[in-house]
Amino acid sequence: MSESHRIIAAQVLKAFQRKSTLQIVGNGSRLFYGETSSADAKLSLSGQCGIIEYEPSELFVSAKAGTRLAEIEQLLRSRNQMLPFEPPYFNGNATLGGCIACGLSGPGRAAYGSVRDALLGVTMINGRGEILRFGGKVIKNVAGYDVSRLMCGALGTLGVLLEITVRVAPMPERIATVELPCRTGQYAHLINRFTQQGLPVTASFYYGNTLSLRLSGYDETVQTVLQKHFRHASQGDPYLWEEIKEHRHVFFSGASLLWRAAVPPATPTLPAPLTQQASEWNGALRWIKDVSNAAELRDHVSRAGGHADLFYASATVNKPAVFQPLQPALMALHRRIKQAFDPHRILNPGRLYPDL
Amino acid sequence: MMHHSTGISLIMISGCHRNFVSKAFILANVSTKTDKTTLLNRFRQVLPAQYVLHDHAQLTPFECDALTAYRQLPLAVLLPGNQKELRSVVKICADHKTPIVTRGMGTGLSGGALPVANSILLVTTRLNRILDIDIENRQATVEPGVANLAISQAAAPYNLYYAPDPSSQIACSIGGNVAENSGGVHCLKYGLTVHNLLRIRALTMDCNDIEVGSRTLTAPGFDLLATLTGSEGMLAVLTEFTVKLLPEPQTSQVLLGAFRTVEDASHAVAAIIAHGIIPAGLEMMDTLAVRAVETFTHAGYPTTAAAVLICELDGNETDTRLQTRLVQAIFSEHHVDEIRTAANRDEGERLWAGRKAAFPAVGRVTPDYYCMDGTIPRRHLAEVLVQIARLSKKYALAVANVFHAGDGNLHPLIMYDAGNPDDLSKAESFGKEILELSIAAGGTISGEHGVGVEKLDSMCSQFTAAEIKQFERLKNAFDPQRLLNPGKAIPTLRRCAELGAMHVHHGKLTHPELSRF
Repeated sequence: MSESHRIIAAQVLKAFQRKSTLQIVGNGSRLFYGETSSADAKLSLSGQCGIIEYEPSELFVSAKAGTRLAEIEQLLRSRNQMLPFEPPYFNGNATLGGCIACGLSGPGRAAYGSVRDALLGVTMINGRGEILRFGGKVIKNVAGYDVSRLMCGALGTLGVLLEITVRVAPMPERIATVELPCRTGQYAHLINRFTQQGLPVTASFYYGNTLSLRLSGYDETVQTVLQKHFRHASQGDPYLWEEIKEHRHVFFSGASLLWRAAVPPATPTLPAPLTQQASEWNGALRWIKDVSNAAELRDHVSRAGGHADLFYASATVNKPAVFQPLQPALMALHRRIKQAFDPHRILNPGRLYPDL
Repeated sequence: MMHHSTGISLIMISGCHRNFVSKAFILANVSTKTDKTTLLNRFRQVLPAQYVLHDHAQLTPFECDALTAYRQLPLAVLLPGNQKELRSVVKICADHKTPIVTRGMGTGLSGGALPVANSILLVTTRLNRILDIDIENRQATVEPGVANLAISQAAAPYNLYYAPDPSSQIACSIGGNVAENSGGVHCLKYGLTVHNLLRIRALTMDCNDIEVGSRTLTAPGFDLLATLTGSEGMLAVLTEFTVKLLPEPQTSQVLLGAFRTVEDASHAVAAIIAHGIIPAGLEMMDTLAVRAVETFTHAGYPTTAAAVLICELDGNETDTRLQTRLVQAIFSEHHVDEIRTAANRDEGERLWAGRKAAFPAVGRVTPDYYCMDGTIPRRHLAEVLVQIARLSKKYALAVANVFHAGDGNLHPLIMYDAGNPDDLSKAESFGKEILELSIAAGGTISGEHGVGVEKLDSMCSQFTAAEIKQFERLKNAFDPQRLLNPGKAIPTLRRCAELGAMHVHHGKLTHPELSRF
């Protein structure tokens, strides 16, 4: 247990004893995300930086929670590896801790898995100021309850992350981007067909009647697939996936409200008034712009078998409930789990749901 | 002959008592508020009488799972046939504060489905319907008693399959797989159960029907899908699952490499990963395991090799071809004595058949065996095997090693004879030392078989008191009355204190010679 861990734990313990609330912050890249909430004091993790352990042939990297994702991926790239969940860097300073806490996966989600899928272990501080370790460095680990993965997407409401171990993946030798014209009704079937055929589609984006696909793999494999299946497709912009990952693509510009809806991938285009849409994750993720009637939007999405969260709202709008409301019994269970980790409700209170 | 059974060998749990004392497992003091007759009558109001088992002869077949050294009769065995009956049974147990142990097919190797005295054994085998196969969205919704392999069989006409494939897959239930977060030989590339699961429907002990996860790639709220997966029946009764289906790979290729030393084989494994190849399967067996397999299956395994690697590659035709060449080259660079490349699918299956039959094969060369399950970082394998060999001499018990080389999950098979009075306890002590080794090497005490009752003591080494207390608090959030699978998976703090095992965790290792870890 390092000295810096002890110092942070002591701050949390003091807050626990005083019942004063803490806002957990790395580099502040994701402060816009989640419910707007306030706290008595900031708990800064930005000084918790550094790679702890990295061994390419063991397929994991461990780093302190305040380490910038950019720094981690630069190291991995030097050994031809990457983070499989392709996290956005936001303003460039996004940290590993914030990434795990928010659980936002990037364009490769459907092919490479989610943030949580890649999480192997954490060192954390609970709401009592206790330093705890769960999980480890190995993917096959079923001792005890899966508390480390419970931290993923919890927005810091269950614990402060100090150190994180994630699985890494090999980088593909070659990436190609193709564009196909595609009518709205068609793209889900098309992507489905490509996936069923085993084509190495690692990301997709449907917007403006154009379907863009990312093909990744060995040079020979990508070349063969291009020639066999995409001879008549146009070459796409290789920077497209970076633009999508960082929400800089033209679709995202000027949005006053940006919803992130998850649906079964083969769901057809969602009906009006959800007209301004873009689709990722082979159809499983729908971005919806500028719909202010949250109830109506959530109704359409749940009829399709999915749910919707508000990713971003500009300061000028009335912000609806950010995260999909839960059934009462499930919400009650959430409150009890919160109680189990943070009995005085000091960690990021109200950031995920008002009660937590 | 007593087997810890996986694969296609019979699970012999009745009629094979020998003259030895099997441990009757009395767990935490469980007393029922209601007498047995009243309870049975209540159950008979919601279940047909033939599915409420209560007399000795009816209960005996359920007295243990595949960890046959421990046996305990439950109060009654219940076999609900539909969701309504299941809900009613759970409600009665909640009302009468009667503990529940849930059991699928009873193939578990850690005693997770071992009954508890004065508790109900809730058996899910009649809840075996595949409710839906959604081809377009590539997911299947199933009841907990559906066999693992049955899912892939139902999806096969659509060229889809369910990836996690524990060796017991023709028998083991999906409910059990979720409870243990089962793996299998293909999990390095395709993940564990948690990576292939979308949604769980469950009953909490306050009789609420909850749904966690979703049919989509994300879910609102806390990640309770991950929390429930691997929770060993302790947090909720799991009633329905939606699993991911994958398109069947276009091609696959199986290779076998025979190596002169374990070090060479381990370095070959590291080199494969370092070259950016994630094989569909990568397994290692040592000489003793290979010889046992060869005697049993005559698969043509090279019995003089110190270590045998079996590598499966799959994907599109180009990828498989490129990777096969790479793996052959890597084997050669690591002093391989012999490489066999399967010429066709049948040959590939035959090469695998040996590995898949490893456990029953070992069961044929020894009266009894104790299968261990620890995970270590791959790079420590050679050292750990040297230590295991040393322990084998110390305890005078032979051990065969089968290793999921791709992900570091080690299965030492300790061979013993329960007819010798000391052997069982020697085997258990040997096993505990192996788990200590796993922890010292930076690994974990259970890769895929779960903790159950078997590894409670080792949990005290892997976790601190504060961590165990946190597990207890999480349990309380789900099951404050502690009615679900009491006494399993998470040791009490008192047990750990009595063992003195807490000392191990705070820096004083039992193997100081392993300080290189």
